[in-house]
Amino acid sequence: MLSFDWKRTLVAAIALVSLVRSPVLAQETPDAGAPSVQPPRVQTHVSPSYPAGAGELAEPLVVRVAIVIGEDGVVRDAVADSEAPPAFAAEAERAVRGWRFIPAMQDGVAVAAQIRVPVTFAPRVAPAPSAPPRAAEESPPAAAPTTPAASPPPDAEEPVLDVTVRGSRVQNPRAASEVTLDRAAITAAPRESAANLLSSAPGVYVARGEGDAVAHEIYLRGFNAEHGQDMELSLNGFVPINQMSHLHGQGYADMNYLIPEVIESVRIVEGVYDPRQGDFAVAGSVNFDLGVRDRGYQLRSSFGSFNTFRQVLVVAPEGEADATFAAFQFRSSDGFGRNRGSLSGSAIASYEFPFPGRFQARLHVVAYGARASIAGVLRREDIESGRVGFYDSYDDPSANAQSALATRAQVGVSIERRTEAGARTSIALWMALVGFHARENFTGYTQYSRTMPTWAGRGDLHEQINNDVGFGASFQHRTKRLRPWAAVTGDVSFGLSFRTSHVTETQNLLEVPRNQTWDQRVDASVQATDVGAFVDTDWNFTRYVHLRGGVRADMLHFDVDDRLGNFIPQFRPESYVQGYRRTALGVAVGPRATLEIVPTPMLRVLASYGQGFRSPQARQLEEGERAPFARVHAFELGVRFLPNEGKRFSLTTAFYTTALSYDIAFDPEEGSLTRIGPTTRLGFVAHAIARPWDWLYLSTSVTTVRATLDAPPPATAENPSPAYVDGQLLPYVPPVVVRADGSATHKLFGIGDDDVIGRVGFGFSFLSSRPLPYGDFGAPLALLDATVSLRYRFLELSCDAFNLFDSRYAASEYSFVSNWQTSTHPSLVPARHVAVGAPLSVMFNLAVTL
Amino acid sequence: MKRAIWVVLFLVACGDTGQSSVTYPILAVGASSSSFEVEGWSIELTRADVAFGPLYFCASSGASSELCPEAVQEFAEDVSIDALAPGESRLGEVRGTTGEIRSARYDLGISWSITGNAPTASESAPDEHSFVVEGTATRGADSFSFSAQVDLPPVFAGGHTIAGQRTEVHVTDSDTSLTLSVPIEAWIAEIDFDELAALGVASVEIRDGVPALPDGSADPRQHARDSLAGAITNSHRIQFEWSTGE
Repeated sequence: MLSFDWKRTLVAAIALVSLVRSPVLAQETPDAGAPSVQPPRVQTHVSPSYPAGAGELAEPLVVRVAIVIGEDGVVRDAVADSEAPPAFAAEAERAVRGWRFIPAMQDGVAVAAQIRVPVTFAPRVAPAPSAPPRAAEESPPAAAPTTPAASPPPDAEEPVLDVTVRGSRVQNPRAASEVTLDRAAITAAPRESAANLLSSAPGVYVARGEGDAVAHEIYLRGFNAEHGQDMELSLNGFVPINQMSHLHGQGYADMNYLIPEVIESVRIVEGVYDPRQGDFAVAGSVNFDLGVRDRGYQLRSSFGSFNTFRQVLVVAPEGEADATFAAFQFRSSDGFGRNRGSLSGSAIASYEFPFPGRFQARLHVVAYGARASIAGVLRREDIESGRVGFYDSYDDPSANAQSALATRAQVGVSIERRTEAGARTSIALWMALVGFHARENFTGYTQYSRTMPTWAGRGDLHEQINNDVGFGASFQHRTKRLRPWAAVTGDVSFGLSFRTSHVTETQNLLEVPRNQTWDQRVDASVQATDVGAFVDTDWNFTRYVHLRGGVRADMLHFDVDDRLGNFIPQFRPESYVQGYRRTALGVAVGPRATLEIVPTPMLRVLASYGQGFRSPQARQLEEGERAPFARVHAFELGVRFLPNEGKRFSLTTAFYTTALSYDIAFDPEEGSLTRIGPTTRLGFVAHAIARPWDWLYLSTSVTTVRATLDAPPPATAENPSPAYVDGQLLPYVPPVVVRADGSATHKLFGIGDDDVIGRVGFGFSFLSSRPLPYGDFGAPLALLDATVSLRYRFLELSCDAFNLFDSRYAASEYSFVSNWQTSTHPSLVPARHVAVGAPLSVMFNLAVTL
Repeated sequence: MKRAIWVVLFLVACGDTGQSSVTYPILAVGASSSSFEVEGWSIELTRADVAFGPLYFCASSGASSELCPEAVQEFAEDVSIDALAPGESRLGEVRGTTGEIRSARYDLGISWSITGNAPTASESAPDEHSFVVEGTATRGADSFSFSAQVDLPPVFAGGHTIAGQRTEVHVTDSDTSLTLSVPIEAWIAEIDFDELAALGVASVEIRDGVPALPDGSADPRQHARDSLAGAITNSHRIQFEWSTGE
């Protein structure tokens, strides 16, 4: 039974008034170049009780409590003034720990803060006659108000003593186009998976061409990042999602294990300008930060098209930090066509807790498994001639034997300490076991056995097995704010990172239906290790000029046991034992720098430059090779228009160029990636976000790029007619990407004391015609997803529609030779193939939140 | 505004993507006349049908299945060429991409699919053979009719009857046509008609599988068949000639 305790309310009110009316000042003297700071504000509070057994107070007692408030508004730590009587100090700490705040904001970004609040205990007085009865469990008596708010005690006017804003400097943008997707952006459009969140970032297109258990394909600003080769993806800032030397694609990054409901924000740096960006940050980097801001218990059931069922359970106990939660997801589907069914489950648990001494720890564990059938690619001419249905697979046993299994078990822990002066030190450890077992046939019947040359035509069903056991650690330290000269402030950061993976790779050709192996292509073990270090600085030269940057160095070494190396053909007498073991080591060093000019508070001009790298596929290395990294040079010049600190509107425009020393592209013959030479990109991006009212969110972006291939590999005896020529447009990369997201949430009407809240949202993507090899162009693509929901108290009913136009589109397009025996004589001219995207799909969701 | 959008689209999307697609006609020309002289014999052909296709053009010099997994251009059909038809006959279209061609591989009506257990004749193959010819050989008072059925299958699954036939051309656009020259006279000229005449029969059937003579030498009919096969696959292959304009 709910009750009203006027005494507690008044005590809290006094504290609130203290907060709101206090002249909150930054602890650090504001310098000319310091960004604007908005202190934390109390959102909900817990009233203190009068300590049981404590003696009667003769006069009001003020206990000052220093509290640390996280970026999520949760109180992470509370320490009462040591001079306070222990019973009152403990009760003040207990109460304040239950408060929730609107977090401190700096430049529109939530940041951690430390404040001190006075909690006043007054002598107990009899309740006023009009006061509602006190609940039985509220005994012992609550702390009484000192006096009516109109005449507060002397200490009630005492301001919050200080506020220290923390973590803000890390959030300083490294490029104009850098974007952080908050929950408003994340939840605007319906999402089928966590990877689809990336579509809301400018210039990003995410495709799923190989079923529900294979990583998405990512396209970003002229890069065909395939399954992650050009995108550094991480979780909670320190757990890498990319895998080194993955058989299915270098930098393979499977995001399917992430549960969208527990992703609090996504930071996307398009380009490589931050010294923290490591391996695979070629087109950019993405970090998923997990957390649940809406606390409570949520059970969400979804059912819809193609017999798709999804069940999500999120447990986020009240009073705990946003990063403390447990979530479970189960999904099953028949798929939108033949051989597309899937089954998956994912569990993520995360716990954040403070330690004495300003330490804060965060632990998370992940378990994931998925198996999906794969319909495979279809020749476009076979679709057009009606030989195969658009959403079908080939009527061939090898085609319908395609599937993938993915598993992941992961644990990560991070410990961080922040000093009052603003210094921050953190260390993090992680370990992950990631399994991948796929059977895919892209080319039908074209392959000959290397082992037994007379074996042919048994189906190009490539079995790929990649098992990765990896662990790593990272250490970072950022100094307190330094002031070497009066007008210059800044800090210096140092970081170390380490990761090592033991990867076993196997690739065979299988003959269905008994999966008999008829050729071996890969049988190798790889030990890959990356040790990285960086130095980063962030300096403000007056309020107008900010300079950030540093340098990063990575040393990678590889130990490869290629058991099929030095292959002995059948016709050659054996004169040695087959196998090729080798080691390689290389160092990649790259500077990164960002110059920010702030001519007016609402205008920021950023020029960014950086060098990044991508590690090589280990099996392509030769003995003693200096690990030839793919190096990228990225430059961006952009302007941010942020009227009123961008709270209601922001506009970003930027020109960018990137040059990559060598690119790699998908080779369907082997189902893996091959080098295609250096590439260059030149483009422009514009991104606007509007929040004209609290209930409306709109975001739109346009990204254009001209991506060209500078020097493709020359013709060889093995490949006399290479698909690429100098200066050609980079295949598969859309020159124009348009994205729009929007949502509106508003009270519709009331039922009793509660409102019925309605919400609509959408996400729209447009991709211009994509160039393909051999002179082809793919069709342009326009997709609209939409959602509508009604929420009443703890119930929410919603409907998500994906591909509302029911467009028939190619999620991915390729051009290569295949033989699916759909004609009398096979074509040997590379032909367009498509992995089709899903048709109109509707999901009905019922969510119960307690 | 619209204009600006189109300008942006043009700037970023214009440009080539490497090779471009080409499609051009493939023609065949056979014997200039059905009557011709071979070593004193007057040959009068009444039928000369050649099975042809599929045909693949490769960028490599040796167009085997290993060295040419991808073709630059192709005629992935099978047809029967009436080599006695006057003038050029159109067979269909070659399609592919622009680029350098250095060799060709093709079948002569009998193909062996990569998934097949044995070679099979195409539906268009004349009487299910690679080459069928009928005619009369006359020298003075000596005269006899002859016919030949020659089968020329690939030797392994996924392979082709003719592989690595050198041919040099750079096809830059579709304003091209390809003419196949079928050298019927040269093929027939490889037959030893004196040897066949020595059989003393009015009608000679040249074919494969004829037993050797008691002295171990080849039967003239087998010899003639082998001569024809050698001419078709080695010494006098079908020739390719590209010309600008159809």
